[in-house]
Amino acid sequence: MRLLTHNMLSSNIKGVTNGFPLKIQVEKVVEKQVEINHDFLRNIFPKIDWKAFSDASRIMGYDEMPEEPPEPSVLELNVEFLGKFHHALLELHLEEGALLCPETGRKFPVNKGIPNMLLLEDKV
Amino acid sequence: MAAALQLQTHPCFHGTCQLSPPPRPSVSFPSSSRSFPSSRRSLSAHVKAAASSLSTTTLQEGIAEFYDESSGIWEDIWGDHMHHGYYEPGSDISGSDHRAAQIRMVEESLRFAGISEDPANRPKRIVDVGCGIGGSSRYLARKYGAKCQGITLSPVQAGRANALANAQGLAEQVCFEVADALNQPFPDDQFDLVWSMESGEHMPDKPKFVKELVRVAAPGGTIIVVTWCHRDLGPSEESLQPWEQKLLNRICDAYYLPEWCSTSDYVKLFQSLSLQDIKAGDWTENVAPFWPAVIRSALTWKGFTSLLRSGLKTIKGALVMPLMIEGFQKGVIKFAIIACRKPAE
Repeated sequence: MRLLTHNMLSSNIKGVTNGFPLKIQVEKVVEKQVEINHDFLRNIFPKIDWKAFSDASRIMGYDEMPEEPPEPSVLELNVEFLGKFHHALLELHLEEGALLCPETGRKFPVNKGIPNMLLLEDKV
Repeated sequence: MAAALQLQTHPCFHGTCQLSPPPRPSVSFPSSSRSFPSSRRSLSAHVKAAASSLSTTTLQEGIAEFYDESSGIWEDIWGDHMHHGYYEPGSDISGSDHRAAQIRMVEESLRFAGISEDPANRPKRIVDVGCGIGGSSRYLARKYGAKCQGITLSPVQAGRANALANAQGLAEQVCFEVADALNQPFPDDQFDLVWSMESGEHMPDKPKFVKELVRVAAPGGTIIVVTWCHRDLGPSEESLQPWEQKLLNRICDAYYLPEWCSTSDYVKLFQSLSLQDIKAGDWTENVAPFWPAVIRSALTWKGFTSLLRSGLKTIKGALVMPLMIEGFQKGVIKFAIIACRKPAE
């Protein structure tokens, strides 16, 4: 599971008012290289919840993302930053671990990089 | 919910329940075995509640296991689109390119729903509900340059879908999770296009399924559902004829399908949630050639040996294919498309 995916998932437990972002519990992080696409990064940037993303990247062991979102011009001009953004967003994979509901603490396992967001009947 | 109550008394449901040992019910019973609660009705209500929660979990497990088992063989013979092809009515498709027909099904669905080709108005965020191994997701992501999330109950399918996305250079654009269409793990108002291609048949609670589709759709977004339904009921009819119900039950049992509904049931559900521009189409004639072609593929040496290797669930599914043809021919089963738009804010 990449951080791009993590930024779109939320807890679907009944009664939870704020199920985003899910907390990350790391067991195994894997780095997988993927070709950088500057236009894609610039387009996706405004859609990212930056705080959730930068917090998650630190939990995954990468400290290069600032806490405050950068100005869009940084993405236009600073190629080095784009590379780091690309790495954090797309190249870090939570291979094994869990996502936790921020309100209830309920665990959604991540196995072989795939989050399992199924709820048992009693949690629905 | 009426659908849930019907579900646990439905004959095909009991068949599915018996396949796995029932877990301990979470309902408490009177301590003495000889005493009964004050009224028989309240005991049976408790039992029904336990049975219905038992049923949905068992259905989900059945669906996941069915697709875990049969995904590989389907992909091997039919490719990464796990849905019907779209053909000219009455055409002889013996020489047809079925994969092209499956692509045509996607394109015709987008056209029916009026999805814009204009770059400024095309969907940018898509959810594929019941994504299989991600054929639709990858196709739509590529077509529109969009970001697509796919959800499936089958971990094997999610894994395969991700692997194919990585292999095809679509890793940034598409990703797949194991999740429940009736409880999607996304915040409200997320997706410009909500896509359900032949997954609605598996949903045990149609009102909840539709509600979730609407919840995750962005204001102004489009919802497209392509699914198997039974024929619309006549004005004086309360249910299908017994022979029709019996036919559907046998299909349900083999394909892990809960109770069927009609196309107009879907339309009414969307109307009740104030969706706009609701359109429904009957594409039964356009998919009728598909099942004979699937049967023929099963009877080839490759098909047959793959089936033998795949497992009982897949074999059972294969044996029931003639019933699908019978259902289409006798007008019981309809292949439907329903499209609508969520009001813009």
